Amino acid sequence: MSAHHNASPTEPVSHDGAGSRGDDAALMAQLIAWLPAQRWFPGQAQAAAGMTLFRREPVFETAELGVDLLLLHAESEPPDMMYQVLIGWRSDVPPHVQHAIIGTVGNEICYDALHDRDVTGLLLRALAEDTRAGAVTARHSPDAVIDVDLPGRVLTAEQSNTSVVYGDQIIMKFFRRVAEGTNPDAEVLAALSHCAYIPTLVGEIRFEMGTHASTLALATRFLPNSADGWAMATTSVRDLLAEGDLHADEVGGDFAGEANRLGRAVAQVHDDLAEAFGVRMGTADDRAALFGRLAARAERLGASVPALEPVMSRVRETYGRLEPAAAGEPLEIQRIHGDLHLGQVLRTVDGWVVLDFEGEPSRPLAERRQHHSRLRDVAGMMRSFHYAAFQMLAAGPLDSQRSYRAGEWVARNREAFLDGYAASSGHDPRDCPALSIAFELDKAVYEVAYEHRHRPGWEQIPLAAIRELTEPG
Amino acid sequence: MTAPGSATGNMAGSSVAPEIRRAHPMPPDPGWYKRAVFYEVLVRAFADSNNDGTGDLRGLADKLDYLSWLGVDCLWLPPFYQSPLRDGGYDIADFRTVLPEFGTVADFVDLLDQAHARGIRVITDLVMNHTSDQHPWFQASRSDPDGPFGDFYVWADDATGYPEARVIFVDTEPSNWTFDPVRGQYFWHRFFSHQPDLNYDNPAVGDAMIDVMRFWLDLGIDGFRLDAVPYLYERDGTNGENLTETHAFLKRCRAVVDAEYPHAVMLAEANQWPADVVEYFGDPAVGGDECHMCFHFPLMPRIFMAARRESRFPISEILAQTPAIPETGQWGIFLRNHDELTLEMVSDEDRDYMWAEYAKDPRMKANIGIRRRLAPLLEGDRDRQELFTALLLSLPGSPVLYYGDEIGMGDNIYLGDRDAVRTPMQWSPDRNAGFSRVDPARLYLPVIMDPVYGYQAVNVESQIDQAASLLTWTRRMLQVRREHPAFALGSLTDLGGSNPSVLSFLRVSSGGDEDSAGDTRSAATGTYAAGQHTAAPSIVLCVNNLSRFPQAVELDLRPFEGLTPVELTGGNAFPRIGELPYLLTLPGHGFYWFRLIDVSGGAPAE
Repeated sequence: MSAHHNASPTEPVSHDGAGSRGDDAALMAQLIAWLPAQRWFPGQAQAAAGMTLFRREPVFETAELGVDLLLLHAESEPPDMMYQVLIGWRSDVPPHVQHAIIGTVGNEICYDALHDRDVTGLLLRALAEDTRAGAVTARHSPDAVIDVDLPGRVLTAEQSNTSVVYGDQIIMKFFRRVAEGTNPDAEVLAALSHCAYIPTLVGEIRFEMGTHASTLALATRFLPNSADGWAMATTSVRDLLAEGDLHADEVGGDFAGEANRLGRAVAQVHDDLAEAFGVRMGTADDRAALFGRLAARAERLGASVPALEPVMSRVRETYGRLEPAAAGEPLEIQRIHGDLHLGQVLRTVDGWVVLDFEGEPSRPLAERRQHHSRLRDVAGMMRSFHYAAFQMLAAGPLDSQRSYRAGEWVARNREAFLDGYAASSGHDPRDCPALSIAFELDKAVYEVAYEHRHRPGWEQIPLAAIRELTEPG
Repeated sequence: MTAPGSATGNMAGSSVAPEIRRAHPMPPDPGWYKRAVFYEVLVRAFADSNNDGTGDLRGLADKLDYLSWLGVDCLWLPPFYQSPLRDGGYDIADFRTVLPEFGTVADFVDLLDQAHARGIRVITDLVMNHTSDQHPWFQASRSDPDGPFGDFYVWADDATGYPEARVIFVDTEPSNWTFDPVRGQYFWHRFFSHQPDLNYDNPAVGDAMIDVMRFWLDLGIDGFRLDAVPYLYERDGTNGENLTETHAFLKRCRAVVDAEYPHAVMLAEANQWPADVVEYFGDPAVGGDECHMCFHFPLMPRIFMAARRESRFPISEILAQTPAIPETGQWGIFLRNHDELTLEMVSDEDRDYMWAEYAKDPRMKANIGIRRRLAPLLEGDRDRQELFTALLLSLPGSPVLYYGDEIGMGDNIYLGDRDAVRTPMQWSPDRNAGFSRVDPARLYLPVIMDPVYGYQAVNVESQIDQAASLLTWTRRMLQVRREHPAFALGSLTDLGGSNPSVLSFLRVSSGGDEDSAGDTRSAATGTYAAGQHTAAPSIVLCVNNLSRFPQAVELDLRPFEGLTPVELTGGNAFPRIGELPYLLTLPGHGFYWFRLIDVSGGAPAE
């Protein structure tokens, strides 16, 4: 096990020589062929071809296998943004790892190590024992109880990261994109360890070298019997739309009770974030800067997305009207979730839990940890309710009756959420209508641009919201 | 205070007069109640043998072949004792006499004998908390405060005591105290004002009640359902529920049962949250030393709520909140019974919801519940009746069926109090539904006659030979349940899953007590090879779609990699469990019961 303590983190460091596992160039050739097929890898073959090996760090070495941490750098990315791959080495690959083979390098076979139960077991043990291997450090939370015999298995549904679940107790998320600095999720989970509405932090695996530090993986308590808020909400909408003649408050699948409890949970998380990270009252300058950012983003997206063009004048006019109105509303600035929607909350048998305080992973870390108004999170949830109701209508022809029902569902559940939020925190977002509308409008504009790129058939959902939010008067 | 021996019967030795015959006991079968399917039957409502318009013990005995065919293991008879019948017989005026219209003690012993001969046990209701105000104990207590019964009830000079105790029948009773003009004092009652509470601080009361238990156990019954047990004692500054003294008395009763009637069961009605109810099983260190069984009240309304919400969480939540119970304990679970659908154990928000959803007509609401039968509650939807029954038979606990629900009987919400769900059993399309030959005007309650649920459409005769009827389906499911002890004895694991509309759980029991009869039968059909399971645990997987829409669910069954799910009603093998999430699709309100077995030994070589 070699540690390069004196190496500079900004210079690529190469593995010592070419042993039985081949040299780095041979390994990279295999990886470049393998990467484009991985779900978490956003680029095509061309992007993979430009990857360079920033670091190859031996992590485990047993009689049967070895594991290396690879940090890869893509030429199009900022210099401190890396891709993480844990590769295993075996001379003889057992059947349960066959599907994860990357290729043969030197005399050994290399494979995606997270698919190997033996490797996931070693990782859990490292966490339980606070092991350090070269620049890789595992550390568990002070009161975490870890059963090292729990079998680990990779979840298959994930998009941008890779998670291993141990028994039904611990989930360890490996960030595929690793940025230098404090991981916002790790930071929030550690700071809010007493909060009942977030997952309990079990431990963290970090890459630490000199002043360079980044989070490779985060382990939290697994929430076994849970379903995400999106699945819960769309179940309710499906039930409503099947009735036709019944109102949202009359159907069996009514979601208002859940929405109310969700509002309470989010409010408590916001209160705890304010307590842990501080809160300050925004000034007139902050407000001006905020509206400046919102307007600039709308202009930037409006210039590149044709569907936004017809609504741009109303968007400008609305921001112009909201800014002076917002002067009468308190602008409290604190740490927030940053990307809150129904897909980021889990219904468990004990109630709602808010997940993923990572922020938008493609943004720089400093930006993801910036403080904002908590109304931005609330707006994200409001938009998510709207999506949950109207996405079911997006595929079919315009149906005014079903649209009306969907609108009722949104109105009912927004109010229920806000009632719960206000009851828990004492902050009623409805007391700040100008800021609330501004944040929702910003989110809807962003959504149009997103749908334009990914799901053109859904553009109409946020566009309808923009028309509603920019209704004059 | 001396024990009023003359009134409570012989305190020592047998409590049954020598001239009364006793029933032949069932062969000993420890823990039988853990595997039993119970069937609640109202003597009044089942069959009328003497054509006076009211069901009776002989009529019930005549129908035992039907109950045996259906596959029930134990009858629960609500009170059939002497009573002014102001609370469905729960107002008992004499603990040792059968209500004359139902028959005699000798008729009851005959019923016991005939039931036991068919392998069916019988438990009866015992109301310990109170008596009717017509009971001689109360009459003596009010007229002679200094006599032997003067202290049998809870008397006070004013109505201010125990203010923390809630009034249970909020719609009819303004207070738990009522003034008695004869004695010139107030008496305490947790239920109706014609049901004074017994004073368990008087040791003679406990003695007298244990003697009542001995009387019936000596006749040969197989146990008691203990009515309203949380309320036996009163203490200042408490709500008068679940008091230490109440538990001490139940321990005393259990000690008598264990010592003298070791195969009898005590089943508690304690309408409380599971964490409180679990106390009624007693000390887990000794395997439980109070009641063998307790009803799980909160589960039932949660099943209804889950189906309406199309979400498993109402059920998953209450299962997660249900603590472990002692070794000798078992839950009793039910969908409906003779009382209203109880909403005491749901939050206010949920109660409003349940009222709105299931009791659209205000007449459907009783005091804190809904007075409807299962079939009309589910709008006559056969799929949902089957799903609900499947849940009842597969969730942890011994299921308690309510008479008539096996054929999908309806209710009559225009009848008073809780009579809506107590109408005559519908045997045939003949006069009075085959229940009685009496002039219809003389029936204790009219038979259901509406076009959907009326006796001409819904009756045993028309369903018993129909392979696809609800009745034969129910019978088949009871058979399947009996063949796989994991349903009765297995641990529970809620599997969760990403689809909130699908409730999936495992029931796993150790292999030692495996009943192989069912497997032999299935193997004989050639559908799958069993036989190598002797040492393996019995693993049952239940997957329930709570939504009316078809659903897919991916289950993490990796701990069972290599095993094969075999569907239990048809015996078909499903694809073997592999590394990937196990995908199942279900029709609306569909469900599957699987056994997970290793078929590798029996499968042909590849």
